[in-house]
Amino acid sequence: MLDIWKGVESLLDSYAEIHKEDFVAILYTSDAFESAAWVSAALEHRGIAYVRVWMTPIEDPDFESRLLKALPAPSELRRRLVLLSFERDTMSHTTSVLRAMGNYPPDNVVSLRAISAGPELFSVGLLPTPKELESRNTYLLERIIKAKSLRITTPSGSDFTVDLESSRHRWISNRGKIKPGGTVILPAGEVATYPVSVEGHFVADFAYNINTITENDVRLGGAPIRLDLKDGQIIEYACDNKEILSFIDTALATAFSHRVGELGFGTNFAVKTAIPLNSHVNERCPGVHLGLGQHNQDRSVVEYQCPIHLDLIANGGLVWADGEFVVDLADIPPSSNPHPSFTTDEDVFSPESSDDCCGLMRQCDVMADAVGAR
Amino acid sequence: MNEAELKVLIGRVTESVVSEVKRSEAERGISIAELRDHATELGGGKLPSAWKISYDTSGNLVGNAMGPAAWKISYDTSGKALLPGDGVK
Repeated sequence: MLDIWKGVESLLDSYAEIHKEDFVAILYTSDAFESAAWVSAALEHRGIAYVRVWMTPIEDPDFESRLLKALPAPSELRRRLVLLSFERDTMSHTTSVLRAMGNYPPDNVVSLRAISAGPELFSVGLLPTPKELESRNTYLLERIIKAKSLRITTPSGSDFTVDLESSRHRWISNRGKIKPGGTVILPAGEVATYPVSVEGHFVADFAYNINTITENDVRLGGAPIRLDLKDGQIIEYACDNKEILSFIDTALATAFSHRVGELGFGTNFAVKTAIPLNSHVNERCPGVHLGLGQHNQDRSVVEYQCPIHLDLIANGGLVWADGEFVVDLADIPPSSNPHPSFTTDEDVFSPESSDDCCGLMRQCDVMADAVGAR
Repeated sequence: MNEAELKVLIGRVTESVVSEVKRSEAERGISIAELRDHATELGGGKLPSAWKISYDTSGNLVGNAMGPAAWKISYDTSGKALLPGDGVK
């Protein structure tokens, strides 16, 4: 309980930067009622005004009207409106939340949305501060964003190369840092991009994370998933656990799911042990993951679409950029430099959302300048 | 606040949240969530970790034609920014 409470306080102090004159709206689904209760208790203890808005996941025709009814008028705000949302398996109603936020000046509203809400979100995922995560994301980005090719090995036996084209494909840097008018996805701690090509052998020994609801135990320590990759696609896969293998068979039966749509590096150093739940906490573990299926780029840049996104996660790893060793993923030191300005912040949205989901400016042109592509 | 006081506070607030969930679901005639009453005496300060909410979302489980996605990772930014008063433009 005290570990969870520490995470609740970190959420309020380090992530939301809560102030006693803020007004907080807690949005939650039934499967995240505990998270809503813990945060409500903390706000009550601090004497901070708040309201709770229950929601059904994915589809809730009345949600937006209930949300608007619960929120104060902009003129009634003493300082900021802080939206905190908690869902265990889903990320819902992005568009409705954005529309509600649009009624307030950007400086006076911020949204922090937690997926995989549960005890481990607080007792593990929220313990590192955004500043600590940002400094580690920076260290990684400084060393790999201009590389044309990466070689990655892992203790589990992976050895593969990745071709990059950072002038064309954006980098996502998820680090929990709020910006006025914007949305932060929690738990935080990852940098990711789209790999032009992947070749070699990948062994996922930590966990998997998939964007459908599953009650499976997702841990892979006892039976890693082994992939052979060529031209950015899986050509062969294996696992000694029949149930896991059957699950992967089902996931990979979807069109385009054999394609590697994401190269990701977790940077949340508090994540040391995989949890059995299908959870983003696992995905943020210090190491490397390949996202099969849906990619993280604009449709105009990478055309294919896939309903499945399956992250296969390996613990730790070593990275070489254009032949030079750059980092041990299990021990990423903090950088003292400012975080690059040419990344996109967030990576998860509700299935219906198609437009600018986080209220962010497009920065691809800035990124192209930064990597010297033009 | 010591741990005992914390448990009392959380127990009381959790009872309130659980009531809210039940009421909300009942109002909508929804039975997609089933509270498992491992901890029936909320006022006794039992730790919330003894409870589990489960969804009966059989249409969404992998193996059933992969159902609707729970979240997605793609997005389509088009230079839009959040502007005051006008919503997303």
